[in-house]
Amino acid sequence: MKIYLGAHLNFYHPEKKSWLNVEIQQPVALAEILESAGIPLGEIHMVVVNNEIEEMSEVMISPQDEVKIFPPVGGG
Amino acid sequence: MIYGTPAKILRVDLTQGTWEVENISEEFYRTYPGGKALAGYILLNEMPANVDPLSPENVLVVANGLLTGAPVSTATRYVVSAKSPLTNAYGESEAGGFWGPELKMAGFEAIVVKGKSPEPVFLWINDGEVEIRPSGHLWGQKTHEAQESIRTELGDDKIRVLQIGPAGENLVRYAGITNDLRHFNGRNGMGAVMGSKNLRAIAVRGHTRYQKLARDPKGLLSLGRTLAKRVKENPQAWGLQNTGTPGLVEPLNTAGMLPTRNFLQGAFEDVDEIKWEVYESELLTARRSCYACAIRCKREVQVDGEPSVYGGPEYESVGSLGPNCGVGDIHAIAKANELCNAYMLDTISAGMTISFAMECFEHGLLTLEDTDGIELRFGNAEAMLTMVEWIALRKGIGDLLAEGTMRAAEKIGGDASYYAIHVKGQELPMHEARGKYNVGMGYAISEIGADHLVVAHDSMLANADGIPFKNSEPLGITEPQPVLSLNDEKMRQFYILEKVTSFEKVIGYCFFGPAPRSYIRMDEVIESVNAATDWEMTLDELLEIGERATNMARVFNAREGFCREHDTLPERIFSPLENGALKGESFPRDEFESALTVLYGIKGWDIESGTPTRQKLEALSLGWAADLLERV
Ligand code: SF4
Repeated sequence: MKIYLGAHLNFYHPEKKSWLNVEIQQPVALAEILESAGIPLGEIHMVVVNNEIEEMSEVMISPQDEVKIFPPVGGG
Repeated sequence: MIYGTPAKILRVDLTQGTWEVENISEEFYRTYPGGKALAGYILLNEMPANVDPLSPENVLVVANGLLTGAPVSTATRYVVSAKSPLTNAYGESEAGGFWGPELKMAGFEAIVVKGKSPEPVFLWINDGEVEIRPSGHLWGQKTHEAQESIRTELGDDKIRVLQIGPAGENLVRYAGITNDLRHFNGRNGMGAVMGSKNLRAIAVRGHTRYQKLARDPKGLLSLGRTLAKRVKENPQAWGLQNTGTPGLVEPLNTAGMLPTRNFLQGAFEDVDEIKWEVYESELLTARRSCYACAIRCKREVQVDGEPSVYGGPEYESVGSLGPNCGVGDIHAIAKANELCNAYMLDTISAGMTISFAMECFEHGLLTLEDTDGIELRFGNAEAMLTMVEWIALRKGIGDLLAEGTMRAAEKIGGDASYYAIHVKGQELPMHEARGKYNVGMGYAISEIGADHLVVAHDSMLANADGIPFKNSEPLGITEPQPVLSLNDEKMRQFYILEKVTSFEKVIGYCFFGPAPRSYIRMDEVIESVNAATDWEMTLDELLEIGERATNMARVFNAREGFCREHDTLPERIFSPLENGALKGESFPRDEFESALTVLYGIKGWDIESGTPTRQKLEALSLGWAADLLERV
């Protein structure tokens, strides 16, 4: 599956890409995936799973989910 | 020598066609070190209350900051200030680019323009030499034509040109000012003030680099190198370089905070047609910068398949001319942005006035007869493009819309004022207060009317583990706060954060430079001031400078009759959003009123009137401003 790294979160992608590929077979905590991909949780302001905004601490994701994460943005 | 400034103000009397140079003292400059502070001091002391902003009595100040032109990323800004024809209040608009640094290199910290020239003119400043030259031949020209004409006439294509366009000549109340066709003093109608003085442009060429003015040029250069290198290591700064502000479109839409259809909605169904990836593939040709700034957040674009001579639309312009008008066509947005730049209209107020007219049309308050047969409906990109031109030229209904939403609504009558989304007469920028309450408080309280750059936005300080929050600790911000709250601690933080943005406007930093919005730490800001000067300035003194500048602007407004009742939000913002992630959310009116009382108290402003108390003004070395107020 792929996770969309919104706004400047692609900063943390090794190739600065906006889509992060992850291999999962069963539901996994999003926080765990992001931590192992080196994306600091403190930089994430919003998590969107299948078009719904969710609380990071509670999100489990499955292979078919559409997941987007965004940092705090504003001003300009 | 006063370090960091040529310490000279150019004073121009356009009625007489004369100019003179004023030297300023170090004691004065340390109290009012440029930008917003210097402008506020001059406006308050040299203009009586209640002048007509479009009359010769208005005073126009163009002021650099202490650090404008320093070899440090984002120290590029200058302010243009006058009484605003849009709000009748203290007016101000900042821009970056190359013009401010060039003025400093030409030997001036600021320019004060008074009176009105009998004929159109432009100013030519060449390393301390000044000429007032005729500009009748430029009148009516689009900005890129006029810039070329001026450079050809003066025989130097490196001349930096600050100018208005036809919109300013036609006294559109939200006409802006551009420099280099890419950087804008967009807001508050400062272009109309220049137009009312028959002043089309200020062309500048200078050769004395900032390093010659600084106490410790090596220290400044070394800090500059460190900051340039760190752009690639800091996510906020790198993000600004990567996408620039248009990268905000999608995240704000997802959060339900992309102003859509005149702030009726918070999410736009055609966002996929205008998000950054589309901008990048359809429009982007290059990334550019302001003077010595390593962030490089400016975009170059193609419009109609041709490289544009103007800069690409920022987020604000994509938003106001796009979703806000229901337009989901990136090419139409780019075209409208180009037209605004060619005629020199503020893209925010232009988009917001057009969306206001669209909503009036949808509700039958404007008819085909009023619009000369144009179906002025949300989503009609062609109508939007026509309106931009008509407003700039005051043609047809454009003449009414050139007055801004507040005045147009008064003339239209009925429910029109409900659709006029402004504070103190200035239209809201593209940030949804119903999703970030401190931004709403900033809209309400700002002396220039609705402004999104009063404080760092709420989400920046909502997470204790975030970089922006950690960078705010030296400011005494140690407890993260929820975005949808106006609690007492948040008001205390508002007070601190406003001082930060205010001193940025004084000393010349861009909002995208210092923390918390971006990556320059407070100790580095102080380091830059102390490498430029021998003042050994502390953070407290710098914060006080910011607070002093805000209070002068507030005194200006009190003198013009502004008080607590003007610190409010449009009725629509107190009403529920129609769609998106924040569907049903409204700005909490009662909480807002009590938070305003708390904030006034913290700021030392009278709770009933919202005017700074004498005690507060004296504490800020502004006893003279308290005397001014007593004389009203
Ligand atoms: S961050 Fe962007 S707007 Fe600010 S000074 Fe740098 S290039 Fe200019």
